[in-house]
Amino acid sequence: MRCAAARKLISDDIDEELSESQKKRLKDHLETCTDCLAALGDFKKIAREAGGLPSLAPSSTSWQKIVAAIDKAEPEAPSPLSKGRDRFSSSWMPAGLRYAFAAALALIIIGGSIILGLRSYRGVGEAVYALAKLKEAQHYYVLAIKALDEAIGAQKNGLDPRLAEVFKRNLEDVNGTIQACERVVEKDPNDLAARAYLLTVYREKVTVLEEMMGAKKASSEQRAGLAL
Amino acid sequence: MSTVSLAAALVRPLGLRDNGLRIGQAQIAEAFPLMTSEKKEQASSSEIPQSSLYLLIGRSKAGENAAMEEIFEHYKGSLFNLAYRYTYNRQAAEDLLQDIFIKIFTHIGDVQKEETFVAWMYRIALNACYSYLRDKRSRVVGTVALNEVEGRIEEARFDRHEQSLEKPLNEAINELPEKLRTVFLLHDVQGFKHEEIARILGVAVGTSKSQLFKARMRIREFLRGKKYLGEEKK
Repeated sequence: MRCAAARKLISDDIDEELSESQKKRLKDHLETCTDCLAALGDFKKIAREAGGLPSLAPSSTSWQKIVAAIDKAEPEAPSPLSKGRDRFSSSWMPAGLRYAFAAALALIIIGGSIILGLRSYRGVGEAVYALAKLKEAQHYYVLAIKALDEAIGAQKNGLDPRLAEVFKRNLEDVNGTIQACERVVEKDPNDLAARAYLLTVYREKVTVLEEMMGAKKASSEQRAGLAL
Repeated sequence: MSTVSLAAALVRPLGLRDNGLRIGQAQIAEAFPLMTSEKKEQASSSEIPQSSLYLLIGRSKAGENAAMEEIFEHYKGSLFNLAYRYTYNRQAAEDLLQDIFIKIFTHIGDVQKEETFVAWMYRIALNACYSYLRDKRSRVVGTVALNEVEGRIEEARFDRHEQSLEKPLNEAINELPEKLRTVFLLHDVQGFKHEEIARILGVAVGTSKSQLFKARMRIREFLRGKKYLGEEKK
């Protein structure tokens, strides 16, 4: 065995990574090579010294500084320290607009994915990119639906019971379809068509919720008009 | 601007979807179960049981300050020492530690699988250290870096034993290229195994072993050059 090969084995040997046959070959070499024997001693010493380097402690005020920095950074990079808030529920955007913003982003991404190759992607790279974009779109639809739910919840006036029942049934149907699509996507996360169907149903839910919000608003205006 | 790039431009500032990592979740997904072995410097003496760590992650995601502080207390030592051995400057290591934990806690909601958390955290730390080194290189071209001077002074203070290799070893580590230094620090100083390192860094186990070998060879040459180790016979 040449010394260069032996030294690689020496490094593995001190980490106990050698097979029996490698150990035997190394042992045979070391019996005849004092330089490699010295290298073994040096490597052991280096590893021992490295493992024994003193451990330093950070300043006792580190945590306070981190907490302060996270709080300060919140408007730009939402923090888990701000419980229950996400980038679409920050105060700079009214609840009623947040869903539209998220839905618009989702639509742009879907458009991009389709242009890029959802229907006829030419290569694996394009398919992977389209998949990533569809996942992003899904994320924004979920946010849009959440924001829209919040916006509807924040509306003070209720709906006519019969109209509310119609919306309820519609939402139940849409939710059932979403769950079915999600199960298909869960089974094969790389299925572009399944993800596209899922997004279509999400879009459908956004439309139903949007109409529900509009109906509540109209109902509210009607009541205000009657009051005048 | 195409529709896609327009969408990307609109979306990118809103979040850090890849957690700032250069390796995928899949690569680190298997890393954590192997990370329960003994570590020389990886964490404080009281190892957090995996189930407790998962609970802490969940509570941190829900915004519980006490849970975050507990995670910080447990990992601050190992991450501070890792940062210190990239900077060799206490203040710079303090700043890096803060940046690392700010990033961890502002993006902990992105952690989908708790078992990937530790590897993800170390990857954030390493990326922060690499950024520091790159910034440092760009700042000190043609000049003597103040950090280096400060670092050497600090090291001198830590060199308590005359016969110890501590000071020259730190100098040798400081001379190592980025990748070799990472593997050496993770393996020989922090006590990770090659399989763990390979998964954290997204490289083959053989690459981790060969980089450790190269790192040890360079350190040996450095120490021999400074007469801390014996000369090899010609």
